[in-house]
Amino acid sequence: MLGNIRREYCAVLDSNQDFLYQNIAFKQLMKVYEVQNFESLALSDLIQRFEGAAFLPYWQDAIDEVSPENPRVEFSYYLDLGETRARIQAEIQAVYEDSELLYLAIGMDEVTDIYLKHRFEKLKSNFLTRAIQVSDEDELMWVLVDEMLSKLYFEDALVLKRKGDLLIPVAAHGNQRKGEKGVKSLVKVPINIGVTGRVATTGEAYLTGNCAEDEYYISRYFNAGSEVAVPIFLRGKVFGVINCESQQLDFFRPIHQELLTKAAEILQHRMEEMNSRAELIKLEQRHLAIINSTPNSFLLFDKEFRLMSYNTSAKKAWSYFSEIDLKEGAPQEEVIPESLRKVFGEMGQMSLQGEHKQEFLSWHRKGQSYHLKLSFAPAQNPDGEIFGFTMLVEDDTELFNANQALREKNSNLERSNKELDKFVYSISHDLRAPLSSIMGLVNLIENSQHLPETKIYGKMLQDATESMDSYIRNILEYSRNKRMDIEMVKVNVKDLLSEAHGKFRFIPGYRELKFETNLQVKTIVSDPYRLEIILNNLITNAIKYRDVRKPESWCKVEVSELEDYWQIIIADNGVGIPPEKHPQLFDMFFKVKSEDPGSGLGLYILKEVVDNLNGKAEVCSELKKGTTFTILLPKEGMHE
Amino acid sequence: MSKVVLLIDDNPIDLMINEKTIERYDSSITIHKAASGKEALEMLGNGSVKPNCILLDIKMPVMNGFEFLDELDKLEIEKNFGIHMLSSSIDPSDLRESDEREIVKSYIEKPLSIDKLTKIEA
Repeated sequence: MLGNIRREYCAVLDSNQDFLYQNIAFKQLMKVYEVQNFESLALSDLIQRFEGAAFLPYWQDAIDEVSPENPRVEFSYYLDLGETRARIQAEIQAVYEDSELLYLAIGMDEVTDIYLKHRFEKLKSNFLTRAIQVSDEDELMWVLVDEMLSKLYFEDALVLKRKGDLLIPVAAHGNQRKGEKGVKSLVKVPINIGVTGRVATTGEAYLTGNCAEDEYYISRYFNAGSEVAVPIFLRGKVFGVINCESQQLDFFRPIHQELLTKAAEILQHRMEEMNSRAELIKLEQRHLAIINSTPNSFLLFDKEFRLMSYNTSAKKAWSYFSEIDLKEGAPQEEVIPESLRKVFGEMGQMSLQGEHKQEFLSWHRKGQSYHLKLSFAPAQNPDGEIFGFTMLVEDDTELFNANQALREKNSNLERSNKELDKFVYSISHDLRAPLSSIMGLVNLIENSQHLPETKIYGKMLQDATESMDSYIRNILEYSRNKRMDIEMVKVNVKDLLSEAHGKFRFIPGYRELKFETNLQVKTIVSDPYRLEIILNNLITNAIKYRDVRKPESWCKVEVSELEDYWQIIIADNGVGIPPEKHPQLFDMFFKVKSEDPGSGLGLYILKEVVDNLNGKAEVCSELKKGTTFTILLPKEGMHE
Repeated sequence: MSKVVLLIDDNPIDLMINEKTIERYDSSITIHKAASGKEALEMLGNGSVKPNCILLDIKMPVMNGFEFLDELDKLEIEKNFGIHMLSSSIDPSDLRESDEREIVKSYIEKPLSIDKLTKIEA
């Protein structure tokens, strides 16, 4: 109803220009001017009271000017107050009904330096309240315009931003403003031109009371009477310029320059704040990017063991491994799985004392085993004060498995090295034993004078030599079987057997044995070299372990063809093997009786050879009755 | 003082070689032969043999040289004799173990010879 009058001094009058309402400031003003009974006065009485005053014509003109078409009139004038001169900003608003005047509102502000300063402080807090809410620089300029520049009684104001050698208008007030958030003229100003340019280049504020006579002034939009411009700094450099022009001469006073400079400073602080916040966010994002890029889990706990922060890997790992949804601020019971809480508590406590700790543990999940390395470290602020601790969880599984495999390989290697050592020493002993006998016998022969004695030594020499020979052959067979590729060919069994018999002739006891051969096939397809080892071994055993107490010793060899195998059976009626010894029969260096001749390698080699051919070796034996070996060799070699 | 030597070896050829070699070295020495540790323990246990010196093979079936020494330890007889290991083994672990046994005086590599016997005597 009263329009929108917001002035320091306000009053409302009726259509007869009688005072209906006066605000407190207005009443006090009346007291200052010693106007008696002002409550019952009419405007005309007041005008009469100030007859002759310099400001009166301004008011009379304004009252005459208001009309239904133009209900609001603003005007200003100067008032000499002793030593200072105040500018009065005044306005009149009329309210009409059907072109009939109903009310008249009058208001004015006394724009003294003190008043401006006071107002500025008030506006500053308004500006800051709104400035906090914006994060865009250009937006901030508009807040400056709306909350400050437009309320400091400037006719116009222009905020320009420096870009290279140009100043670009970004926000405007008064004559320069267009609509809600527009600038009338977007003409860029080179920094070496005009008052604005001068301020931008020198970084110093500039005030001129009379533009027409100023060397820097350049008329742009209208011929201004006076002009003031101040620089906006950002990090020590000119960021932009606030520029105000007035049609009046000497409109701008030092107070304007001072307030504008202050406004620029406030703007600067806010922008720096905005920038540093933006930089902080950037920095945080960079750190987060680093922390989140690792597959390891990072968690930060406070002194009360509450989760302060964590990376994305931790979030994922926790959800996957323990179905826990990590949340900042969660107590340890909601973060650490029950089984780890004890270790976690101990490690965390030590970290809070400043220690770095590591712990390894396994975790089972969905049938898989994980090996985790937990590292605990104190978390310190820049002053070195411990405010919590970090826990780093690394998945060590691959490394662990690789190490495990390496360890296994190593221990296998060690074992096979030991086996090899044992093998070598055992062989060397068994080779040297007959050799030392031979040397001993040779010593005896050398010093002997009796021929018969020498003959006995000669016989012994032969035995020892043969024993060594067979031993060497065994070793050679073993190593060749290991080394040589399998070669499957047609082998004539009869030829192979007669070849073997040729060798056995020199073995003691050969002649005491009766051989029977039953060949159901003439040829078999197998590896001839390995076949020879098999036959040699088994027939030699039949000879060696014949039962001398029996009137007749025999050895039967049978070769036949089964569906998938060649079958070789070698049976004897020798001393036999007690059943409890059967399981170890094919072990390295195993002898049924320790005093048995030989190396304990024969059947071990036989088994190795048969395995190599992908065959089977079975033994059936009864003590004092005899032994039967059955060898099955696959018809299709494993390499086919 | 007549000397008595006990030979322990499973290999009859070696047993004979050792016997002949000692005979030639000093024919006054009385020689006893045992084909196994068990046999030797019996001889010592029943007092039928009281040697000054024992030549002991290591690699023997059933009871090897060191196992014989363990059994000998348990035997309650006067042990005023020295033992010399006589073996063709060159396994360092055999040499080491021989060295660790207090009763063992030396380790002789086969075959036995008059030279080696002279060294034992000295």
